[in-house]
Order: sequence, then C-alpha cells, then structure tokens
Amino acid sequence: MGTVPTIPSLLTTITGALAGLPSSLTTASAGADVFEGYALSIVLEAAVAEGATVTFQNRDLTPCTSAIFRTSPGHLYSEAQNYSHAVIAFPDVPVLEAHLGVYLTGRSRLIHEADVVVLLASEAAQSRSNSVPPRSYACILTVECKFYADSISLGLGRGFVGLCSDLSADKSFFVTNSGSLSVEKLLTHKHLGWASQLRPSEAVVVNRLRNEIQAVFKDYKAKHA
Amino acid sequence: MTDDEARTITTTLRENLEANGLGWIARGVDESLRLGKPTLRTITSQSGTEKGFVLEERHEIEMEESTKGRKVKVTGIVNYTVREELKMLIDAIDRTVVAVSEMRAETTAALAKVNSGSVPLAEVRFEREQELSPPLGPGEAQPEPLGSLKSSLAMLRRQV
Repeated sequence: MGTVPTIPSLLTTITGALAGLPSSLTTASAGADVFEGYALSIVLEAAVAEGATVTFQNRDLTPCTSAIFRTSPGHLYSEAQNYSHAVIAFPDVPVLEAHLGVYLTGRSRLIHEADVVVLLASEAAQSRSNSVPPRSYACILTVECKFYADSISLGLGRGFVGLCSDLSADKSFFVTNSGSLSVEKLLTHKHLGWASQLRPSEAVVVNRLRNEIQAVFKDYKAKHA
Repeated sequence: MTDDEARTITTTLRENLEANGLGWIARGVDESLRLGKPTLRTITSQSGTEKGFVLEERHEIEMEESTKGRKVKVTGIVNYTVREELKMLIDAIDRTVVAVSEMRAETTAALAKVNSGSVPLAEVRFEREQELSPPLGPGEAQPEPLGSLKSSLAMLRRQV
C-alpha cells in the first residue's frame, strides 16, 4: 500500500497545477462555453442512440470541417459569423437541427435565449430566409445550462420555471455542473426536467440525462411517423 | 485535521486561486457561505402561535389544544464550519477546473463520434462576443497538471 502524501505536499502539487493551467480553463465564461458544448454533445449522442444520423453544417449550409458555436446569445439567422449547427435526421420523419445559444419566440411573442435547442429544420430554414427568430412551438427540446462554482440559487430555478411557462417546446431541461436541493425540489414539483452535478465523472447523471433526452426523440418519431 | 489546519489550507487555496485568475471560484463559495447552511430544526410551539396552521386541520379545536407545546420542524440557517468551507472549496475546484478539462475532451470525442458526415470535424471552437476560443480538437493536448490536480484534490478531501 502506498504512502499517503502529506498535506503540505498535496498543497504544493495543487498550487503547481493551478499555476500551470492554460487560460482556456481558468475563466468562468470559458467553462460555461464548454459546458454548453458538452450538453450539446449529450443531446446528439441521445439522438444517435435513438437511430439518428448526425452531420454538421455551417450557417451557409456548407458541410463543416471546423465547427464554430456561438455562446453569447444570438439570432439563428445571424450572418455575423458562419456559425455551425448539427443536422439530426431520423428515417421517415422531418429533419431536425440542433443549435447553441439562439433566440426563440415564446407564446407571449417575447424573445428568449435557449442555450441548446433542437427544432424542426423547416423552422430553422424559415428563420434563415426571413431573418426572424424560430417559434418555440417548433422546438422539440431546449436545454438551459448553468455552470457555477458552488450551489446555484433558487432564483435560477424560478427563472427556468418562468421561461418554460412561455416556451412551448415539447420538453425543456435545466442542467448544471453544480446543484441545489431547493432548485431540484422546485423543478420536480413543477414536473420539469433537470440534471444536477452534470459532468463526465458523474456517469449515472450523464447516462440518466442522455436516456431522458433519448425518450424525447422517441416521442418525436412516434408523433411524426 | 484540526480547524486551524483547515483554516490555513483554505487560506492557501484561496490565495492560489486568486493568483491564477480563478478568484471567481472562491467568490462562488463565498456566496454559499454568506447564505449559510439550511438545517431542519425541531422547536416547541407556543400557545396560540400556530392558529393559521391549525385552521387547515379537520379537527380544529382538538388540534388547537394539542398544539400547545407541540414539537414542530422548521428550517433554520447555521454557519458552515471551517472544515465544511474547505470541502466546499475543494469541490468547487473539482467541478470547475477539473470538470471543464474533462468536458472538453468528452465533447471533442463525442462530436467526432456522432458525426456521420463525409467530412470529419477537425476542430470545435466557441465564439463569445466576437472572440474565438482556443480550438477543441482531436489534437488538443490535455494539460499535464490536471491529472495530479484531480488526484491531489481527492486525497486532500479525504483528509479534511
């Protein structure tokens, strides 16, 4: 059995490791960006598990070799950058697209940001050709991502409840790398989807979320077949 | 580990986070410390203080009488201990710095795996306020210190 390192030696290792980190890992905004990308990857894995083929396209509909995802909220139709999105195709049902950080129109006709959204490709095409935000009723899935160092506040959960009351997406999820018992209680009481402690080392959490999202795709296929 | 040792380690970690542009992690923990720890407490109710509560019961009179001196559970707030603060700080570093590095690797691998297009994804970037992030790509090297950071945090957590 190995020797347990002393506390001073552990602190020395931690100190050295923190000092050697690249800037891409040290800012809160960089972490939040990666977290949104991670959530998108789980959505796409769920789609593939349900039988979809996934490809990546740019705003100009060319195939993507170097994907650029927006993380500051923007319009799906924006030409400021040739942003990328994923195309999700199931056999015999309308094609879907997955985007990061785009505005949607809610029931009240107010504009809301969705960190991750899966919507009908026809609605996305209409958005691009008419320069209008997609309508939330054409969305089958939205994911609200919260990347925090410590417990998230109840206010974030309340905000999500309010957001869901105006979005008519088939299903919305609240996901966080952190957690909060009060937020979990609130969202459970409201029958809204959530995942706390979402990160690669938490395999149970990741698999459960992926399965829940896969069920959304299953229902979409049944509804449109 | 004594409280004094925990306090010293907490101070050292905080100074290091601040020095390396990671002060936001400590400030996130500070916010939780400020709010305190919700704790369920049992208190003895006093006569007449629970009338509103009792009125919702079916047997109003009997219940009202029986609530005198009745034990009820309420949510109170207590301060976190020094050791709890240290654990929170270790967990916060783990769920941010360590987790983000793992998420980058997982995202890169997952996007490449799900892509059934004829063109492979060479890299993935994020744009925030017109600035592009460094690419997440198959060739991205994971920072060497992260493995030792993760294991050192786990060992330190066990000793708190």
